[in-house]
Amino acid sequence: MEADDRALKILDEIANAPRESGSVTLSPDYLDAIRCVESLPQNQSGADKGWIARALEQSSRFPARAVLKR
Amino acid sequence: MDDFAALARALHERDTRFVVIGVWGANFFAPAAGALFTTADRDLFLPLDAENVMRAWDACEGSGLSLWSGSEPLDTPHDRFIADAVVARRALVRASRAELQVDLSLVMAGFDFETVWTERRVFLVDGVEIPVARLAHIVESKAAAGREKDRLFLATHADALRQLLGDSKNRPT
Repeated sequence: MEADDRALKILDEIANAPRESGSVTLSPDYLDAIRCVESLPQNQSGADKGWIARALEQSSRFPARAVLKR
Repeated sequence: MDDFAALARALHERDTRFVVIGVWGANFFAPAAGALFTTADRDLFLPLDAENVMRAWDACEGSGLSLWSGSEPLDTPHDRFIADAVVARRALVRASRAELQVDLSLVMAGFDFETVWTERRVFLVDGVEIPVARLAHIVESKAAAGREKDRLFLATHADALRQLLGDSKNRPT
């Protein structure tokens, strides 16, 4: 029971935490660009997206291979 | 297999409904590597369904991820009582392992789950189906949330798309 009370207290704290807000208006150009990107053949259901994780992993490893020269 | 794809497979095996949202979701629509955003978090949007939440927790733990509520481990056992409390409070639970952090969210600003689910795209990673929210939904949700990190993402994303789409229009054929 004590553990349940503690869990509920933690959940209440998270739920009641103040949230930053203030909605943003999206420009017509940006919304057009999104529609354009969504309509690309490679962005339809069934497309293989394995390259994304590989590209991000590659880019994150690149700085780790850097050697200080001076 | 990719860690996230392995988790998605575990979620499917348990008939869990989820949709990828957030910056990681937006990455699935990137037209080129130049429009990818580095992020440590994978955000999953779940319906307000305690049974589904418990199946998601089981899949995460089965994949070696630990469950956290705020800075505390999620209360054990992760029974229906805790799941009901999480759903009632729309509380975020984080599942994490060394290099994989997954936020199990019951809230997506401006959207309900069924709308996002109905219009989702299903992409493939290592042969595993990954349900992803529409890019328009992800961006509109970030605009509605309007946190500092959302504003930063929107500005950078808009610029990246403008450059990439502009480049493709100006490319000689």
